[in-house]
Amino acid sequence: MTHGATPCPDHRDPWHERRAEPWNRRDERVDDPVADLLALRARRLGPVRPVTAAVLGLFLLNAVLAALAPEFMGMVLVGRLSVGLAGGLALCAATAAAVRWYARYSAAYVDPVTEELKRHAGGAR
Amino acid sequence: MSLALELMAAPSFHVFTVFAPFVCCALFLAVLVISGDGTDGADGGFYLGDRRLSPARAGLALFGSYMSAATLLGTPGLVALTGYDGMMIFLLGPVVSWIVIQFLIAEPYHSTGRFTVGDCLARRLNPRPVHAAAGLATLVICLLYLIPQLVGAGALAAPVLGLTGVAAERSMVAALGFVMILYVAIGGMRATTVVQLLKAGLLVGGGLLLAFGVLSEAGWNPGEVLHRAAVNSGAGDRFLNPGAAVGSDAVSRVDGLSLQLAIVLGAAGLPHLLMRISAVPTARAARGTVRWAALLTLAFCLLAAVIGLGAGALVGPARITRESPSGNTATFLLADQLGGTVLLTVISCVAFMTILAVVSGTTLAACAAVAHDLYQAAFRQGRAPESREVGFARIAAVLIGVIATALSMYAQDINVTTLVALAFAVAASTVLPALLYTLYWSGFTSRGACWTLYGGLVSSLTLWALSPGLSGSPTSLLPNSDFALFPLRYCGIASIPLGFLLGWLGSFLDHRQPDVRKFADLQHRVAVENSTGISRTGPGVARTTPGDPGSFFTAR
Repeated sequence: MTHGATPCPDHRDPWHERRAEPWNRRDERVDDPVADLLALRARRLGPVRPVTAAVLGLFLLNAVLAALAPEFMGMVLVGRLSVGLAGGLALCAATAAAVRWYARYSAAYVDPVTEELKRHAGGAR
Repeated sequence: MSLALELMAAPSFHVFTVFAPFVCCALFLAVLVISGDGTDGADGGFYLGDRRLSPARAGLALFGSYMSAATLLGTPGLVALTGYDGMMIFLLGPVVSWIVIQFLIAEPYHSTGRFTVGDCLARRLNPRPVHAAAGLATLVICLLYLIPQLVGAGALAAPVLGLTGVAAERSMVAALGFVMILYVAIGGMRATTVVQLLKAGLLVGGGLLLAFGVLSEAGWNPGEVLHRAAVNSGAGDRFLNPGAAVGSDAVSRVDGLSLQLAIVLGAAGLPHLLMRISAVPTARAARGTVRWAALLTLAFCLLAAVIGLGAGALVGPARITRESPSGNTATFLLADQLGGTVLLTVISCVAFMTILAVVSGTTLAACAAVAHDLYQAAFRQGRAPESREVGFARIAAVLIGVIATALSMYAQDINVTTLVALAFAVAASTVLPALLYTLYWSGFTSRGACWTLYGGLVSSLTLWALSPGLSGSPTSLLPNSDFALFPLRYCGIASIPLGFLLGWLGSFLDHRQPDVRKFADLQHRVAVENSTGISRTGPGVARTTPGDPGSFFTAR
């Protein structure tokens, strides 16, 4: 890390707390709403990556099982519907559900924070 | 009797008499839209249009630029011939690929990018080298994607012209290439958007017609379609089990896995899709756009599965392979079977629009890479006037179009799937790691970006050159020579991790420290949904000096 002395703290820089300069140390008594909002937004976006990983993981599981255990994937469930085909349909449903969930979740939990941030950033920038 | 001969005996002339006016109308519509809007691209919007589309429409256009000739023509044939493998690889992969775009790429990319991938990277890295590297990677991906689409147009020759043979196929490719160049060079993004919207509507309509046709033949029972396709395939139960397409030995299994990996990750790095995501007003609109596109893709892929299984059930694999060994004409055969000449005409028009929409979008992305990344940012360092850059982009559109069309005319025998898969693999090992690192990793440096872009490009192309896809097997591009050292046909499983690794290694070995301040600024931009072009601070601030890249090609 470069340690250029910055005379004024920059709340957009998440590293400013780690710097040694006393004027860069975050004073707990001073409100820093933008940093708090950025942290809140990051926290709210927390579930997004596990959901991505889950859907992609299911897809890879489906692909790997088809390669390693074709007998299992070919097991018939109902009529002509095998485990593999059912897995494919389930993945389609999971994708649709994940996309729907994301739209609702971000509208409900992320967008308000973004609006608040915009309000704070509007004057400064 | 082949399809073409049958159609010559039947009133095949009708197909052409409807098809030719249809193409003229489509052209005319685009010209009307451009002139109706009052301006050409000189003031802005050559790359991104007016950026005023609603999320639903933009999603329709994004869906239109993603669903290629491969999905309408190639995939149903593969599903009819290989069953389970065809469906899992070519239909499930594209559906799940939207997850990556929706959750990780779309909104941050919209907030940080302008027109090209290079713009997004240059937001926090050294502009000149990353623009050059991203421009080159984009150009290669676009060309690799463009050629198989145009080759696919050759399959239209039999149903439309009623002729088979190389000459008919080449003339079809040349006609499509000519229309594509006209669209892109004159109309830019605006004409491309129109053709993509039109195509998306036609594609959904045509898909619904065919799928309803198939289902009504099978008594509205999807299980019956599965059953008949499996019985007709001659493979019985194996048809609906893994292994029919990729084979059952270890190498083929890894190959299938590699192809699936490339498709599911590569879509997020395709430049023409990223460009469409940039062409909406806000990050929130980008989210809605991707959502619509994902749901439409899901719906259409289900339709395509029904169409493919229906082709297997009603037409039969013997007739499909007799027409075209790779199954590219299965959709036409099914249309002919279900609705005769009328439906065949409709599907021919749909297929033409499908290919035109995809190649226009891809050519536009390629000429943006040449004019904006390579010429403006890397060569002139942002000093060239805007009009010069747009002129350069138009010339690039003509050049790229002519090169791609010429290559496609002489590559009619090429295996379309291998080349599309290569384009996806290159995208997943160059653009995707570069974007993900730029947006999410604070330690990424310019050297890391160059290593991942050039390294991913060289490694995936080298692996492909040494693979059985290029030489050493009867189905490869050069069947007579053999220098296939790499056992896999699809290189994704090796080149994608290598691309990510190179990005990390390059940043790790870079003696310059990463610019954390710029990264923090980028994160802030993403958090406040900063949208270049349509600025929230008002029109007075949005337009800065003409030379400033921030006001470059912005919307009115």
